[in-house]
Amino acid sequence: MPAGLDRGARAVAAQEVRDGLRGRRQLAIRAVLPVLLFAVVLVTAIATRGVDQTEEPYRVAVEGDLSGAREALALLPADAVIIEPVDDAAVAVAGGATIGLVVPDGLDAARARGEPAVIEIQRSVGASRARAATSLVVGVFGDADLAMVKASARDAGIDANVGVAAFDQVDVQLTERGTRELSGGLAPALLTLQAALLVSASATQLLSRQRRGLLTAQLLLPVSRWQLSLAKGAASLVLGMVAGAPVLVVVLGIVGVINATRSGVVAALVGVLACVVASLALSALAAALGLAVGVRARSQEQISLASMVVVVGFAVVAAVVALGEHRVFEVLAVVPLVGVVSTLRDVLAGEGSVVLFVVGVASTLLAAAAIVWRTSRHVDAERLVLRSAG
Amino acid sequence: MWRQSRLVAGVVARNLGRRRATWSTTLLTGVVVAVLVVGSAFVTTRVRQRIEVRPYGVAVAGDVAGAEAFLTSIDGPLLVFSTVDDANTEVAASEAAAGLVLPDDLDGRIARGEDPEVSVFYRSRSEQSVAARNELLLALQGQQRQVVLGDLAGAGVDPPEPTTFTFAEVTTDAAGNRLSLAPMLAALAALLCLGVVTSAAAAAGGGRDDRSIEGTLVLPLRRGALTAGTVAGVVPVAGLGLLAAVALLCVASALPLAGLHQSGADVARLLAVCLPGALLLAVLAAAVGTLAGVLGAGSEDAVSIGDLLSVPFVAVAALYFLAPDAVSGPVAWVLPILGPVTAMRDGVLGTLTVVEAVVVVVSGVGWIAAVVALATARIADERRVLRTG
Repeated sequence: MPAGLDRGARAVAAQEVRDGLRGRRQLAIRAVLPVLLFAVVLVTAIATRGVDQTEEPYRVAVEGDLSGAREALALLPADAVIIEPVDDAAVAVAGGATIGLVVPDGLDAARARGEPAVIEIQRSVGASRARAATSLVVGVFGDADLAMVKASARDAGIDANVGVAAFDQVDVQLTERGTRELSGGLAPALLTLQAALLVSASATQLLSRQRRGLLTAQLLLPVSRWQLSLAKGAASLVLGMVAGAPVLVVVLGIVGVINATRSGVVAALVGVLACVVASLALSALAAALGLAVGVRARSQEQISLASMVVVVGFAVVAAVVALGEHRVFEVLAVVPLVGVVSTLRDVLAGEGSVVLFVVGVASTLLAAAAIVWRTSRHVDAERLVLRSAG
Repeated sequence: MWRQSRLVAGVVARNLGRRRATWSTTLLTGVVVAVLVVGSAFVTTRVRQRIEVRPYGVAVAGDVAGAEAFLTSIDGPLLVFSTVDDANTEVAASEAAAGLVLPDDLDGRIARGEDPEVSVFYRSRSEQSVAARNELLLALQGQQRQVVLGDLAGAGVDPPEPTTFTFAEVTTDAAGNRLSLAPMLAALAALLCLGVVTSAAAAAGGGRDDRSIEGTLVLPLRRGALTAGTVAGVVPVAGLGLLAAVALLCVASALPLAGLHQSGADVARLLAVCLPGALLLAVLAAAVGTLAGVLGAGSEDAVSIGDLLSVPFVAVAALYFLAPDAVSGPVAWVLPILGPVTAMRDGVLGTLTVVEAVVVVVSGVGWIAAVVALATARIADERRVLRTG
């Protein structure tokens, strides 16, 4: 229990924790649910898109004289392109195909004769994937045409391979650094989403207590409003950490193993410690938000709405800050939630500053404390009403 | 049985309807979801329009001074070069879409007839980066072609004509937009069922918090009437958010802001197929929530059991988000959740047949009856204990 709690508040917190731990079924569901949800989404993604999500081939819808373009279409790499014969390529693109090709009549014959041929590429505006697929298709045909030009040069006795630069392609995400960056983003994202689920659980617990009259009894105790709120927040945090243990253990395992094999035991310990501290800070913020929602809510629907908003907010932070392509500005370390997620990502990627991480954690904990303090004023208002009624 | 169910449903619905915080929040949830979806669609459209005209940043490291001619030859409107110390780092940190590391004296080596190697760095998980790499490769290809064509022209040989490309931007009409709208609406409906399950679980489980369940159980009512009546009574309030969100999204598809170009007649047709589908889903979710409420030891316990029972709804939503075309056929029609969701998608696409609609409704009602029967069996056990006591 936090050292700032007085005896009465500690008793309240202990009682809340005991009460929560007694509900083993709820605790088990809260522990299993995030793992189950992550597993469901992961299994669905793998089942529909394959294990290696990055190698998902482009769907190229082809309209026109397909039988006359068999050889030309065979140039497209089968592992990168799925050719779908369609009647209307534009409709196919609107329906999800990456790009559409409209091939002219007798394309193969025209190419064999060295005559000009025009293929129309149809794609949606602004789709990066369509741009990548377009350049791939254009490049493949360009390679074939270049080979034909070189063959003509060879026939004319010209050495066409002389004096030309060659590109050696390096995928930085398959390098050690790239993998470290990816795993560095994954751990904060999982911890953020896990913490977000704590909001609804904490608020529901409070509302249930309120309905059973337990809150009324606690409001009449000789414990200050701040201490009472802090006790409830601390209890939610403890229960949340217990329920979140499976996800935390998995994350710590991943971080520990990756860092230990790549950068040694010390780096692994630093990564694991940073994850534990960040998880505590994130859970503290989520527990405080759950407390604020639970104390104000009068129905489960209000909790659902507020939790949905919080989960969307946390998910956006996980997607943009933890998993986003761009690192956020260092100055954002002072922003609660964003700070701890971004600095944890940097620390795990081996590029972060411990000072900034501490700032991120501190700002998140301060925000949690501010929310608890604000909630305590609401608790006090309820208490005043109760005492006046008495 | 029917009269008794109606009686229970009336009491439950009136009880929930009296709590303004309950139904107004459920309604607000639907509105918030619809606003979020339309807002994100609007932002996505604007972002895509900006991306279309944005060139790719290419970080160049190495002997830049010795490669001036090479860089000029692969220069293009889509590639913007900037000199850096470490191209790998710039690409890995997403500061550049692609990176080039130039060897020493590249221009000189090319002029001397050597084949120097230029390293290209890119990120395979970023479509932007892959597109930038492809553009670089195209530029190099063009450069090579020019060199060989120059040699051919010098030798007086006519080169073969290349295959060229024209580009057409697909501007989707109302029917085309429905192809992307259909799976999105279906997936969202499945996801919103989580709220219905939670709401129904809290309403059904709340009876144990205020001990009203005991009074209800000793009433001279058939056990099936108690659960069926509870489900029917919970739907008008718990399903309000789902129905409101689906209806608003259908209506919003006609707004210029959404860019989906649906006409008034299209919207009416969307509503005609989506609302019944959403209602079927809402009743199924309410039945699942009631089962959770019956199984739980109070509202808190019921809500957590409801969360667990909601996982199939999440799975169906994930399936529709990730693979909109993966599900089809009679097997999908008869499955719970998947059936109504598939019918909604097919209805929006305009491919819903009478046979599919009938199969989905009949099997959907069957699944609802099965879940209600499960809840009834549980309630019967409790009632027996109470009456014995």
